[in-house]
Formats: sequence, C-alpha cells, structure tokens
Amino acid sequence: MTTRDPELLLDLFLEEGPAVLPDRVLDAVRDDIHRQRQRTAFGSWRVKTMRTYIAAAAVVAVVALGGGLLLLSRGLGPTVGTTPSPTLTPTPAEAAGSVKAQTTYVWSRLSVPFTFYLPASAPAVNADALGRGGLRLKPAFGGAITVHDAESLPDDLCHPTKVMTQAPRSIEAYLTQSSPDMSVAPTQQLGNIRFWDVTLGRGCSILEPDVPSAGPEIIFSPGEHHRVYAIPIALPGSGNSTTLIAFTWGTGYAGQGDEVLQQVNPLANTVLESIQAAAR
Amino acid sequence: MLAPLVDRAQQGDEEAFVALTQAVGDRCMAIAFRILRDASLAEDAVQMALTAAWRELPALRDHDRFEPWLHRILANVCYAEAKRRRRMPVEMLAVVPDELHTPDDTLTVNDRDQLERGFRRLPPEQRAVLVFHHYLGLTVAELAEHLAIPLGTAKSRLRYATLAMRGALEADARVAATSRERPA
Repeated sequence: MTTRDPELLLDLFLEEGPAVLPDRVLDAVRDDIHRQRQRTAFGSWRVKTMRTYIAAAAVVAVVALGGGLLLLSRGLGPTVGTTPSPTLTPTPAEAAGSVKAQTTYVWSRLSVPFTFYLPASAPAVNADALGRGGLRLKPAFGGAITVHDAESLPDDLCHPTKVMTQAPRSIEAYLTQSSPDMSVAPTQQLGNIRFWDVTLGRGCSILEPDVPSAGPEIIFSPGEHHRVYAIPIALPGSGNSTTLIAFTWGTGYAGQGDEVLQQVNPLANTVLESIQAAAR
Repeated sequence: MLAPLVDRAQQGDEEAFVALTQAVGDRCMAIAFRILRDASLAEDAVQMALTAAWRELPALRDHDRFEPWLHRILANVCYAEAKRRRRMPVEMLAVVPDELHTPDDTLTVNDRDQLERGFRRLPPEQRAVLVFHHYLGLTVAELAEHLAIPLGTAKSRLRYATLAMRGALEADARVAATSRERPA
C-alpha cells in the first residue's frame, strides 16, 4: 500500500498533459468569430460609449418619433376608427427615443402589437427595441423593463440551452421548472396580470454551451433579481388570447445595482397593467 | 495587461480578440485537458468557450476580470462535454502492478492509473476545483470566483474531491497489496 502523500501525487498527476493550444484551434476560433456577431448584452448600454452609427440611428429614431409616429392622447385608444396605424418606433436595435408621461404608445414590433400607457408619475423614460422586437423601457433612475413575446427568450432562465420558439403554455412551469438554482417567490396578482419575484442563484450559468449563436435576446446572470410578469392579452378579432412576458432589471450585472428594483418594480406594475392589444 | 485588448475586443475588434486568445489559449487548453482527460475533447471545449466568450464579451463589466470570466465559461463547456462523454462507453484501463521503492516526486505507472481512474469517477464540477486548486494554484476563494460558486460550495467540492482521490488511491493500493499477497 502506498504511503506517499496523495496531495503530492495529485499535483504530479495534474502537471502531466498538454499545455499548449494547437494553432488549428486558434485558426478555427478566428474563423468562428469572423462569422459571428457579438451579442448585445442586456445592460451594456449603461457602460458602453454610444458608437457613431448607433448615435446616427438614434437621431433617425428621434426624428421618426417626432414625425412619423403617433402619440395617442390619454383616453383615446386604438379603437378610434380613423387612427392611423401607430408604432412607437421602427428603430434599429439600440437606437433610443424618449417617451413621455401621460401618453399612450403602441408597440408593433412583436408578434402581438400592444398599447401601453406611461403614468403622470413616471420619470423620464427612454425606449428602444431589443434584437428581436422586444420593448425595453429605461427609466431615468436606472434599471429597465423589457417586454417580450417569448419567441426570443431562453428556455430556462438559469441554465439556457436553446431559444424558445413559442410562448410557454404555463409561465409558472417556465419559472419553476427552470432550475433548482433559481428561487421563485409565490405568485402575486395585479388585475389579470400575474407576477413573480425571482432570484438567480450562484449556481446559474452565465452561459451554457448549447445556446446557439443566434441566442436569446436577453441574458440573465447569477445573483440577479428580477420581477417576471405574465400579461394575458386578447388577440383582436380572433377571440383567442396569448401571453406577453415582461421582466424588470437592476442597473448592474450579476445582481449589482438591483436596489433600483424598488423603483423599477412599481413603475413596471403601472405600465404593464395598462397593456392592451392593438390592431396591426 | 489584457484589459486594453479586452476593451478593443468588446468594441468588435476581431484582431484584438485573436490576440487575447493567443495570450490565454494555452492555459485554457491545459485546464480543459485536465478536466476532460482527453486532448481532442479539450480542443473542442476551448474552441467553443473562446467563441462563446467573443459573443458574450459585451456583457463583461470588469475588463481586469477577463480571464476568471473566461475560465467560468470554459468550465461550463467542460461540464457539458463531460456529461456527453459520460454517456459513452467507459474506457477500460489496464491495471499494472505497482513498483516498489519509488521516489516521492515521481509518479509510477500504477499511481497514474489509480489517479486517472479516481479522477474520471469524479463529477466534472469536482474535477474542476482540483484542477484550479492543484494545477493553477488558486486559493479556495480564488477558485470560487473563477467558477462563480459560493465559497462554501468551493470548500465542500474541494474537500469531497480530495477525499475521493485519497480514497481511490488507498482502495486501489489495498487491492494491489491483497493481490500480491495471494498465493501463486
């Protein structure tokens, strides 16, 4: 029986083996990255300097907001017959535009167009489009609210393996089956809307290897807190309904700056409760 | 030192990212091989991890933490590779009789065989803590950061992994000793 120090043997054992990455792997990586775009990480707008083309796109968006987009006054809904088809923005991704309090807007970049209303108490809010048509509202005090139709969301918030292709039948199952590393508070109700406060545990992965490069448009990371909303919305003229999903976000990454959720969550409650289906 | 390259790569500079991969690639290969115990799988894992890092780089806040962040991605890729490999037939390793009177700083063929079998029996998460601790020389707190796990989890994984390896060495040694004592 060996009496030698197992720790020393382990050190020696782990010293053995290749420690040089072959050039062919580096070449393959070079090819891969040339074909793949970098993902726009959620929250990166807070730290990245706006690049020239994005700034130009923002100017276009602001002009579009001023000229081509319709702001509906409060009380007038999309049911007004002569209302031209309103769209908050045809903005390129990351181009931002400000939205005003006491105003109803229509967002038509998702599979289900909808209206939302910004209350009088709302701070200055910027809006922009996520990669696949999701709406992102960024209040001046920080953080964000995002609204999605589930077609660009990860199948699992904690350990994503693929992008969902359609809305989950049950948001509860989507959340509770996501992973044991994620905690989900009991369901809360806000009119027809249900919502949950969730915390992504440290065991959640920043990235799973099977997520395709054209992956979800938002990325969750360990330590983050979010409020997740399931918003039932009737489909005009069909008698059917579907569900939009919304999230609130802190100002930072991996849970840093989540204190701002104390302000973001109440704003989200108000804005999301105002959502109604809009005609396309 | 890497931070300026990370900054440029975050802005989409592919050459800067290639320079980064040249700077960190060898260490990634060493880590991946030691977790997966297979050079081909390790090369695949490093390629996937580096490509994923390129995609996700805009999400990295602290440019000075690039390498720990990359190691976390690499570890996740290795876990997935190890799980896929677990579904494949287990390799049978030949048992070679132990040599007597071996110097302390040399691995015998039998040591290597015992360690290899013990190591392969560990879950990939425990292999990773052993590699980060014994090969990279990280403290438990540092490896917890690299793997994005709580300190307590890191400590317990390291403890269980070390005990398992010690147990594997001792059990195999007992078997070897018993077989040598058996009458011919």
